[in-house]
Amino acid sequence: MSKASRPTLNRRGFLKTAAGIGLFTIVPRHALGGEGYTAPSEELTKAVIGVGGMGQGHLTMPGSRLLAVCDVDRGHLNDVLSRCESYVKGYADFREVLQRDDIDIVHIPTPPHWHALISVAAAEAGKDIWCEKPMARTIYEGQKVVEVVQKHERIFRLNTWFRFQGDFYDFGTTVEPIKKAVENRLFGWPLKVTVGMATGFTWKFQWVGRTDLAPQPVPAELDYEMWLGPAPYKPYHPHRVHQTFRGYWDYDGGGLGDMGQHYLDPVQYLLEKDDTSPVEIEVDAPQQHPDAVGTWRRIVMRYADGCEIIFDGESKADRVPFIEGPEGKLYKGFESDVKGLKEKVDALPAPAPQITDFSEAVRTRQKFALNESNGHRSCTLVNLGTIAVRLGRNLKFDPVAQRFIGDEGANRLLQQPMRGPWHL
Amino acid sequence: MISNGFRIRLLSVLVACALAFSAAAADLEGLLKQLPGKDYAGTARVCEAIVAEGADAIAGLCARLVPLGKGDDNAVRYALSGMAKHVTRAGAANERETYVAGLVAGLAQQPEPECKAFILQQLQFAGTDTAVTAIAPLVNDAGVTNEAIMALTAIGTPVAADALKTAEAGAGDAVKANIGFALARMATSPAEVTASSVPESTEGVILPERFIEARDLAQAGKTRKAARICKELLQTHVPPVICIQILDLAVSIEGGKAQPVLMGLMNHHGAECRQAALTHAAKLLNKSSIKKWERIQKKAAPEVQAEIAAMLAGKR
Repeated sequence: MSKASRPTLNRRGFLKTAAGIGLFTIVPRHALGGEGYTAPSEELTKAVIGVGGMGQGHLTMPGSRLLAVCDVDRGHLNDVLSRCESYVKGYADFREVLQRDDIDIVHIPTPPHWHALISVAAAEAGKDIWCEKPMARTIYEGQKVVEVVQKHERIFRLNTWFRFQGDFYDFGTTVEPIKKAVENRLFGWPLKVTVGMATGFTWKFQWVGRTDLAPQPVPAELDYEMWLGPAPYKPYHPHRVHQTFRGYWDYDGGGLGDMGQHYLDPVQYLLEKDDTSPVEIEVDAPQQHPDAVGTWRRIVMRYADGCEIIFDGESKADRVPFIEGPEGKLYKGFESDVKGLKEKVDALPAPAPQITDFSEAVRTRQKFALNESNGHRSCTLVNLGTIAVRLGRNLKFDPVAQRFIGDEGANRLLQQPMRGPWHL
Repeated sequence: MISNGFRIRLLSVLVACALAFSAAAADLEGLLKQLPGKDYAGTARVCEAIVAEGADAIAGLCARLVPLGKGDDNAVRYALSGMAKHVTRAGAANERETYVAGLVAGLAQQPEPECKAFILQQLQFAGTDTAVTAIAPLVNDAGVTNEAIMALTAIGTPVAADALKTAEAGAGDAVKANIGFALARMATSPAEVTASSVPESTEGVILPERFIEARDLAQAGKTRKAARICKELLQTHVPPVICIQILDLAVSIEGGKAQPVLMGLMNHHGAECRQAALTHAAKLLNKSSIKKWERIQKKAAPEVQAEIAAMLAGKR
């Protein structure tokens, strides 16, 4: 029997039970240990797996105490450990981290080819999960994360947040007023949403790969085998790893992979598509290199009800509506042809509340606002896009079966075998 | 004694052959220069033309691969990977077999592990049963064992599974373990029946052997076993045209008892299969099954909820 399925009361079980009987609300915090003091039993603990680029930010994410860090690059690991409290332990293998009983939450800011494997292993080990975007490198990997996280009743959050907080890149507002306008059908229905420069979003085409990588010696501090993990073996070159890995299909999907879920998850939320996916994907892109990610011009995704998302990579026009419906348009900066839109929106009730504090989600065992289910669907938008770009052809997708219709080539990209011994 | 006339004729034939060969080579070079394609149409045109040159030309391209860092073979890599994508589109079964035959021939002649790995990666994407015999020995080739296992896993057919099982006998512990993982994945995610065996019309469709077995069993009155095979087949990624035939058989065997099978299709099969299942279900509804369908409707994806609602409309 796996540890996660044992009917024992673990740390989180205790916290949940304690929260349920009101321990933390009845007993004043200062009575437990003075003003501002957090009793160790009340405190959530975490490990961060992958402490290079994005991992640096996860070290200080609020709501939990850092106990362990892990990286396959000793340089990264030692650098971080030198800045941590002495009780923080360093690891080179994430599996050792997952064996620790005193860790509640596992942060996974590794490159995307590791996200699903570590998420699944963490869920099976009874950990809650805070994973970087994109949630998974393939649609199948995303499905497995959903399945295992739910089987083991774990709390999962994805590290993007625009559906519930923060200015939505250069659009000019948060997502909330747009949501109010959309859910009250102020632009009508169905809607067309354009994500590109003209509406406030850049697709970061600097994350393209190189096609001239001559093998180089692996640095002594890097465990390259472990860095590659489930990805096919390719000779080492520094451009493959660390910050620039985004330019290679084996690990990510360029700017679309890197930024896609940040930009598209709120759009999915706006269009009320958290439990479905598009049925048609149209793409206009140059031929892609088999290894290195290239650029693309335009991707159009169409849902069964006629709603569309346009990924505008060319950005030829200066003024394009972010949202366009039969009854009105919404431009960057919340400008609109709907008369008195701002006043109308101000008068509307707030959208349905979401759990936006991950610690609260962990303690109360409630789904976080952006969780494994809706996160998988918004990651599917990213993966549908990368598959269409790689194939260069238009596709039809069944959002229930989560398979392409009549395209075996596309279906082979849904579920790509992993390099042994890694498997899901 | 050879006559002058014969000599002239022979010389003419040789010159013609040489010219034709160099023209073909020039054509191929010209095609390679057009890659990477600027758009889908351009890429497709070039890939189609190279495939039309035949398996030998594709094998010739494989021979021009050089290991990373030893020269610029990007044009060849664009061509081989471009064709892998081009031939896996619907309705391209013949082109695909030409391409696979070319890769198989190229694989046999390629001495460099990195280049072999590249060819195997294209077979992972486009390979069919035709490639299995060539890939199987490489499962125990240390330089490309992972790529060979991944290619066979992606091909995913019973033929590929058998090849892995055979290779397992001569494998070391690590490779054995990897084969085990691959076979487990193939058991849970079987390959689709390829487009070549599934025409748009049900006429002339090549049916899976297991389905034929089930149909024969049903005809012989062994309905329980036939029904079980139908259920097993519906757990796999069968194309809609076959899914519909399996459903027809399952319902003809079990009648109203097939309702759970129909219900089980709602969340994992495509729209055409679901529609066929719902058409059967509508004819088999009774008070008890209506309640079960309503429960399934509540938990289903939005699209499926609407489909079930339409089926139940007027039946309550």
